[in-house]
Amino acid sequence: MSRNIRITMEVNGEDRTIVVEARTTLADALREGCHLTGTKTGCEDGVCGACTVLVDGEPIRSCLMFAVQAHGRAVRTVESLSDGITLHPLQVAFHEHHAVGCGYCTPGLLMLTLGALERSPEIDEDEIQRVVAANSCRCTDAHAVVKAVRAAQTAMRAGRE
Amino acid sequence: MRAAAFDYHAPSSLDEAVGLLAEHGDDARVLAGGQSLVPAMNSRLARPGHVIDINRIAHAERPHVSAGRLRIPPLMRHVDFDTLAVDGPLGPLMRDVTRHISHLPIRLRGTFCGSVANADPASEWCLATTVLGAEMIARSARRGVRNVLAKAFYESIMTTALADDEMLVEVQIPLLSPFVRYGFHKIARRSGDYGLALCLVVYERDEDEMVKVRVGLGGVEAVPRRLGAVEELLERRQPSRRLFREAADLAAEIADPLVTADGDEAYQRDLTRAVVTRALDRSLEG
Amino acid sequence: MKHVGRSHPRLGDTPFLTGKAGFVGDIALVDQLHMRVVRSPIAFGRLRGIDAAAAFAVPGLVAVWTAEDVAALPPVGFRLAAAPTLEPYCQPVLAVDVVRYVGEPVAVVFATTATAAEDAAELVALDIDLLAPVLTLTGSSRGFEGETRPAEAATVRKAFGDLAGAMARADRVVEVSVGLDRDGAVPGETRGVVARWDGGRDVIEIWGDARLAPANRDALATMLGRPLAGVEINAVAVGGDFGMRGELYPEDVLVAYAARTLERPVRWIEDRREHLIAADQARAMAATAKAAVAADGRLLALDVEFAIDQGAYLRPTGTMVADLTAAMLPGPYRLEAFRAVGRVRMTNRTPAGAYRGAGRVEATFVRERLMDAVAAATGSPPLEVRRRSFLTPEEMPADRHMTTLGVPMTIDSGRYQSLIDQLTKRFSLELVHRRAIDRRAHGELAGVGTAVFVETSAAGKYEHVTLSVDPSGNLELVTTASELGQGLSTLLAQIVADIVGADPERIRVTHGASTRLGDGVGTFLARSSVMAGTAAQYAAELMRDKILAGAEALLEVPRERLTIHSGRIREADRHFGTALELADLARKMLPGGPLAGADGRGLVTEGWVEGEGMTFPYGVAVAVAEIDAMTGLVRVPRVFIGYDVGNAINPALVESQIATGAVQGLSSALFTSLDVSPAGEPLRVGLTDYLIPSATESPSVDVLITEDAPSLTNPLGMKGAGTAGVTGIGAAVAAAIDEALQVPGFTTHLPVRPVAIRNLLRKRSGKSERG
Repeated sequence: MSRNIRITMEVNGEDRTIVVEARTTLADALREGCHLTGTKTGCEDGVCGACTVLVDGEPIRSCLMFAVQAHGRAVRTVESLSDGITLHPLQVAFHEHHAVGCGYCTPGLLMLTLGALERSPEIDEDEIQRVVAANSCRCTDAHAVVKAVRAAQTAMRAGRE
Repeated sequence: MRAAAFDYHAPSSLDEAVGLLAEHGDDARVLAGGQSLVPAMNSRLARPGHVIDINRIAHAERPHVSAGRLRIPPLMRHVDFDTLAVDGPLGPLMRDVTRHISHLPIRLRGTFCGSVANADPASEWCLATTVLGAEMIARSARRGVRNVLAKAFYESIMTTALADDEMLVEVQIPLLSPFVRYGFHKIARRSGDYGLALCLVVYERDEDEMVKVRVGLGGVEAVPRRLGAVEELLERRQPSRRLFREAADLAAEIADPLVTADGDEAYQRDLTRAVVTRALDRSLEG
Repeated sequence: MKHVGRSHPRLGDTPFLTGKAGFVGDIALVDQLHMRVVRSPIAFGRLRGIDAAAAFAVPGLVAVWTAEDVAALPPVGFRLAAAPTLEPYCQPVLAVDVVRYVGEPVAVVFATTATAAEDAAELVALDIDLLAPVLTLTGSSRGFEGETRPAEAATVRKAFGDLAGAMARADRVVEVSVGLDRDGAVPGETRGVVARWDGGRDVIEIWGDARLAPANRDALATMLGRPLAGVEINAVAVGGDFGMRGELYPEDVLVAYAARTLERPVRWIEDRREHLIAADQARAMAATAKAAVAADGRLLALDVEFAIDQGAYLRPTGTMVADLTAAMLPGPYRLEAFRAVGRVRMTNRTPAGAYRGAGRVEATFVRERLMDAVAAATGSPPLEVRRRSFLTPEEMPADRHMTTLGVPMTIDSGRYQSLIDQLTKRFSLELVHRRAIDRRAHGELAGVGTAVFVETSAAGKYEHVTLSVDPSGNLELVTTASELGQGLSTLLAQIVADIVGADPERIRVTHGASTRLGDGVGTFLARSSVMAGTAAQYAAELMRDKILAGAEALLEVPRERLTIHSGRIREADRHFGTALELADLARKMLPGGPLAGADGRGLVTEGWVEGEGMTFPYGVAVAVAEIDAMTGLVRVPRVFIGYDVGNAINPALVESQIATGAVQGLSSALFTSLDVSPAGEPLRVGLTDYLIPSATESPSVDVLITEDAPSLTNPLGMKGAGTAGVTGIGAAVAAAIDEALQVPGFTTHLPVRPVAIRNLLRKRSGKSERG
């Protein structure tokens, strides 16, 4: 009931307790409170998708969720994808398919498509294109991103088997 | 862009939520999916002093059917309609419509009731509730519960019949007869955008004729509306391309369009003709 | 293994993939202040007063500045083509007495948190008397009440040949009036800058876009009254530049000045709304163009008058866009005579700067629309009209008898018709055309349009790189040119790898840090790969010599018999046996040591290249358009681009640059524009109004890269590719729409408005119903 609130959320597998203002978005809390700056903000309007993270496994816009709403929830950011040695199949595929431009939208695209693939591992190319269309980008070839996600889908499938 | 400061409330029950609304009235906003409210707050176009986050209220996500009605609770997300299972054509219709709403991350958070209460003229759900004769269940701490019919609910752009202390706690949609056919179409600049124009057509087939015809138009006028004259034109007629064109022309003529930066009145009428034609055509598919 | 010419995956992707890349907004310094700009909500008005009293109630507020507080700072000057007559058009860092566009910085607040800065900024009250704004090029020539500076800031004139004679001899003169609406780069990341004054060293350290670090450092040092060594610009990762970012803005100056004055680090990150109203915009122009055509259909002359909507102030690029537009108008065509008059007109709009393809997009649209009009007027196929007038390979190099940006224009090489033929064959364009004809026969509105364009790159001056091998055998190349997501680091590493004989993965490219720069200019006009690439080549050649000289002495094998592969030096004819590791050699060749080389510096070399004129790559853009007759909405499902890059160092990177450029061009043709209300209030202030095409609207882009006309200006024959995708799309889409509608000359302005298409179709169906 106050304007400054202590919250605890699981971020990339670790409990983090921070104090936020009620109006602090999850995006800002991750970036400023948790010092995880991989999550970007590009519009704070929910349109560009640069801030996409997984909350309880679902890809959502972290600029449209107040941090207090993530209290008690599990958040995954781009920093969780790699242990610093091995890259996630999506990261590998983005690299190999020239699907990284300036790189600003890349974390959001990775978390968006990861969330989509985890929800529906067998989505087809049309559906992937629709998913990718959720995020905007000016310097990455969207078709390269779709191709990368297709390739990662195959790799992730092989990894499960 | 950061929201103006507010007090955050996270009630655990509807009673508590409407109690907070009664206390704070027009200085409070209900936060459900937040996919419209939070952008408005981030840009400070909306600056409530109190935000009532209903996401921690239990049992507010699953719909159920009773007395021939689909009853949609306040936290049912757009994406939940992907797997909606109800008897008759209402399920497929709602699945069809929800696919047109924005993009996955928004559909995962945004709620049906939130869209209804937000009353965007181009909202898919506002149109669907209007055409399907939904009843909105509004609840306040002082006056209890009242039902408002869709056509009385949407008053003007982003304005509903909800009082400051009222919360939309449920929307009820009558199930559709197995003989119902429907067609939905949306015209948008980009996939996932709010539609420039939307149309939902629902009717029953009686032998070769269309009966109980309902034609709703969204996005073009200030509120979604059923086009009575068009419905009359189609009632008890056999579907045909020519008839559909005639109906669409009539729709274009009687529409009362808003003029926007991207379209003058004549263009809005063109969009109306196109969207009505295509929704009608679609009703014959599948 | 040879690396040049291979589609090597980009080096240095990992930080972007893992979220480790440091963009300016990711920097947080201890004790930092956040700056928020109070912007004019009025397009034109007299600033009566500013009342900041209420702002001081906000906890965390540190300072509020208005023009008075920054009176010591001069206006933002010019990087290119400064002239005394242009000075009245320079923007003050904070508005003085008059506000001239919505978004103009009027005051700044500094607070301990970004939120507090926002809370305080909205409490700063502005008292502004409204004046009638001038918002369009066609608007009233009166206006600008009380302004002493003329409404036309500059007039660019270029001409050659006997225009009157050519016009008199022409069989016919074809005329078009065309124009482009305002658009902008609108990259994923908004602008931002962080600065700190290091009192110990008396240096203002700046983090931000370093595309033009040397020029901006010099400009800032001058404005702040400091020695050049008192300002350092550090490169950070950049979320899309496209020519919009990197030029010095008032906000950059304010942040640097504040860091020194307030003696605390200062951070400014703009929000999306600010970006859409205050970052450089571009493209807005209107032109009347005439072509003199001979009886055999050949072009004799072009005569073009155009005006550019410059907005409220000139930017550091001065009149560059007008100059380039004028110079690029002749394109690939042979002309006896030419005249261009370009007017740089002030309006009460956001200042216009350079945006990807600056000048070339504008010139191509005007010229290619005119060529299509010539085709219609003479009843010839559009490609035939073009073929007749192309400069031929035999005419190369072709002197254009004029200068642009102070450099004489000589088209170095080009095989225009051959490129069209190859593109046609490669993608079976005959079939694409036939399909459109079929579809029209079935009542659909489908069409194909083609535009031919000439690009320019490598404008300018000089570039310098330093290459070194460290004792662990890793290489570092330091350059002024910037990695902006275009893959420059990879290109440079590939060039160096081949020459030195090292793996590209072991070559680190360091760019943009003014503290480590020699002399260089930076990244613009698609010049980086050419200029820095050539400098890198020279440095690598020297390095190879040094390595071989050292190895010769150590191994006692004549250098002619030595090869270097993957950082191993061995005898050419011996695949086994002893090899010398580059790391060992580097340790033995440390500066000062016995093997430190003739210059005594060890394995350090430099590459220096001076501008040897511009290079003129060229291309063809073909677009397919489908129009929904009922709604007037246009879809472009396919785009084909042929482009001669001279030497494709990394074909996949070139293709990716072209594909994404094409989508940006399509964006301006169909989706995006920066419109204002009649009062001058921006209407596109968020990404819900500014419609960036997404994956579903992006056409499939087929790219053919040729290397038929290597540039003569550099040894590798490279030509730039950074802007190739964007340049021809608008004109091609316009032509495709005309063909779909079967109305030649219909599309005179971009973006194409569905309303306009519907107005045409409505009129047409009205007529047919009556008739």
